[in-house]
Amino acid sequence: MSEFLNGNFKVKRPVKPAAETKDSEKKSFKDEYRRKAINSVGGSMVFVEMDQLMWDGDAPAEEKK
Amino acid sequence: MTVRTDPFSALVDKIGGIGFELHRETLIRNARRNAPLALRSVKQAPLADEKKRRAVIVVSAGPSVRRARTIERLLEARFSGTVVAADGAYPACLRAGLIPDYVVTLDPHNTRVVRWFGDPRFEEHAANDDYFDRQDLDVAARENVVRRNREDLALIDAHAKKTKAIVASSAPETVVERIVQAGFETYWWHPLVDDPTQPGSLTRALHGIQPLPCLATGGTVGTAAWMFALQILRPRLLAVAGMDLGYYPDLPVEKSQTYYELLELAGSAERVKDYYVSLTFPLTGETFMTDPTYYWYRKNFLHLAKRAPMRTLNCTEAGTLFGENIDCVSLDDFLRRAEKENHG
Repeated sequence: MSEFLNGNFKVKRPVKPAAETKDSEKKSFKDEYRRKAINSVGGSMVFVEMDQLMWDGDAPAEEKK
Repeated sequence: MTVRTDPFSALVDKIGGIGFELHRETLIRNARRNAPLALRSVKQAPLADEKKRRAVIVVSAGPSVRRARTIERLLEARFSGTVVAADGAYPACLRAGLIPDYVVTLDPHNTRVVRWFGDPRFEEHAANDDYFDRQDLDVAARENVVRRNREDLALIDAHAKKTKAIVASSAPETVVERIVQAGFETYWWHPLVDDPTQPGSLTRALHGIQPLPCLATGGTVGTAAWMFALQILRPRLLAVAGMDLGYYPDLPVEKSQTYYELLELAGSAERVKDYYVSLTFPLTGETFMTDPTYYWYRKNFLHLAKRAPMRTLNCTEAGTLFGENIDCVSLDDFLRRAEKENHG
């Protein structure tokens, strides 16, 4: 090919070979699927264990006396 | 109880934290959107007369409801106490001819919850989501689901006014729109999702948007419905049904709700078994399978039940819910006790 195409400038940044880009894309797709899988497992609600069953705001100062 | 080691336990331990980061903004956003509509607090929900309130049964949507004919048996026994339905059980109640006194909704998912109230945009929502489909691959069943939704819309429009909707501020736009359209009277609450005394509490932030009572939910609407009954209705006798939190042993594991997600994590069909455990239900001696999600719901329910001011009768007759302050009894046993309460 080099007998047909001749570059007339040098690029400043080196170009990564195609194979390396595909591998890193595969890895990030896999991570993304894994992340989505973990996120789906917990359902769509939030709950952190605590001792209260119900809370209706802080009691006013007078009531605490 | 046989618990397999790490993959299962490690994932159960992660679930709470994942949910917190993932859904925090949704809860805040929904609470803000719902604030102008949330005019009545759950504490203002009309209570039935004292006799009807003595015995309360909370009906969730586990597979036992169909297999054990829970709703039909409540009707056959002419149960005269109070019925609280988790949203997923509501249409099944109506189809069988049982009108719950209350229906509780919590989950903020914008397309998966509205179907329990009849979904005016069912085909649009179902087209991009295989969550329910994957459990029913038959095309005919899919067509049945479309027809069933149409029937549910009509049923719910006809009967909504007879059931009070107990709506969490986390409810999504689709559910709230449908509930208002159907004509439900609504009573509102916040999910109690973390310790409100701690800095950065999400519960405190929700309460700051609107001062509504906050009820612990255990991460799932069935537990929230039980908490509503416990804290607001305060019966003498409290039962839950359809609270399987697991799968019957004859269900192929591929049909469990998070099978494909777990397969992704496990990497193979062989290793996915590491993400399931089996528990023996004490009332029947049968073994039920559960996955990390349901095990987490179970763990949360047990944590709350331990702190509850009264015992809970688990009339599911199946599943994995048993532990401190919970009595596993048959539904018939509960109905007999409820009858005694009524005449006492």
